[in-house]
Amino acid sequence: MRDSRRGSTLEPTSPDSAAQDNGWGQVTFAINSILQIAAPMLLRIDVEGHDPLFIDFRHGAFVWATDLNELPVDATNVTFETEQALEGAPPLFRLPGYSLDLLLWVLGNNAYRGHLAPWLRPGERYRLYQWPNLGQHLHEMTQTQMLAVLGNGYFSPAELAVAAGAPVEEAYNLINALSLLRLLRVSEDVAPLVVPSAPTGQKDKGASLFARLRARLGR
Amino acid sequence: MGAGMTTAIKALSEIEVVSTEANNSERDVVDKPTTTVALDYGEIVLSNDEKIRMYGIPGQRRFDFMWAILKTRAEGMVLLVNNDAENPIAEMLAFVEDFRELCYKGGVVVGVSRSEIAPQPTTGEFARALAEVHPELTVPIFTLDPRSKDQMQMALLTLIVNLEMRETFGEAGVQQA
Ligand SMILES: Nc1nc2c(ncn2[C@@H]2O[C@H](COP(=O)(O)OP(=O)(O)O)[C@@H](O)[C@H]2O)c(=O)[nH]1
Ligand SMILES: [Mg+2]
Repeated sequence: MRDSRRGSTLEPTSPDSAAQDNGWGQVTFAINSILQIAAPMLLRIDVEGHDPLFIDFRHGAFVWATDLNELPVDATNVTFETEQALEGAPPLFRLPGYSLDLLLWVLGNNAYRGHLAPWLRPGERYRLYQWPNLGQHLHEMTQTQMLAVLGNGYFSPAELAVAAGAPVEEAYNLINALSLLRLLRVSEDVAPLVVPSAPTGQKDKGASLFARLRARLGR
Repeated sequence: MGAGMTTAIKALSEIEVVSTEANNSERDVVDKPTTTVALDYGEIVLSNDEKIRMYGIPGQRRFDFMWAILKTRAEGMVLLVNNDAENPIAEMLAFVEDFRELCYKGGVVVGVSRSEIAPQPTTGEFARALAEVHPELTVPIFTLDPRSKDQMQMALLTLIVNLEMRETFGEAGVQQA
């Protein structure tokens, strides 16, 4: 396999993000670049202390002996190699493997640790056009709430955090994951969403049903 | 039928679920003046004077008089689609058409059951089929095992937060676009 880490096209554009890299930043950037051009690529990722992780982009699938929930957030010595799949070449591993979406959700949420992914630009606003399959992703209720917000309009990560009452770092993580999953509409020139203040009478309704049921169910 | 409706209500309810089962063979009985409707009822109690009432309503067209009642009364709906059925996407689309208004209020989430038996179609395929007809609708669609209390609670909370966020931001979002 050819070592693509020296390839100029896969270098992060923002020096800031490189400083934030926990080992996964570069890998996630490479994965995003490959997805962006829908290239028929194969990717092998080596993390110290783990079996190699293989991705076959032609089939949207990956295999890894490590349970994704154990994904080391701070991985030392992460290296990766990309290879172009030749036409008609057999799958890199026995299909179906696992859906690449599972990996994208976890990497998107963890790779940039509360900062905007380097392929996204400050000043952009995002709107959800399709929900991720929450049935297959470990998630927190705060993420569900942010998704519900994002389904209604364009938000910057900071605006999203305010709207959902979530820490801005979590808003960045979620936006990164959704972008990686190709579930966002992006706009640079849409105006901020203006929410009229709640009509009087609604104000002292107290906690929302969502908040109360959440507390009731202990979630 | 078999999408897991009774199972779903049982997973969520804090009271003993009231269930009546329709007898399939009844359809062959010509002279019978009545039909049994499969119906489930359960509750989650929030406080002394507040509870969430949950009704399991069958999806077959012959019970659509129940849907009419649901449309005027229900705040929201978890639409359970059996992925192991003949054409689950067409089934979802038919319901969305019927419950259009509720969908636009954010009051519908789609739970795709039996997906471990029938992995296809994927939730992405459901979403794309829906987007072709209603590109401006963003409906939560996820795989769901009605036997899992955890997943059912997740589905219910998703439904409620989706309704509330639509109420808060829906109008402004339309203005913005
Ligand atoms: N394997 C599997 N079984 C399920 C699933 N959902 C429901 N079931 C089972 O399917 C059967 C029928 O479920 P039920 O709740 O009675 O369906 P209903 O006719 O919609 O009320 C029960 O044995 C359930 O345990 C699922 O997602 N996967
Ligand atoms: Mg039943």
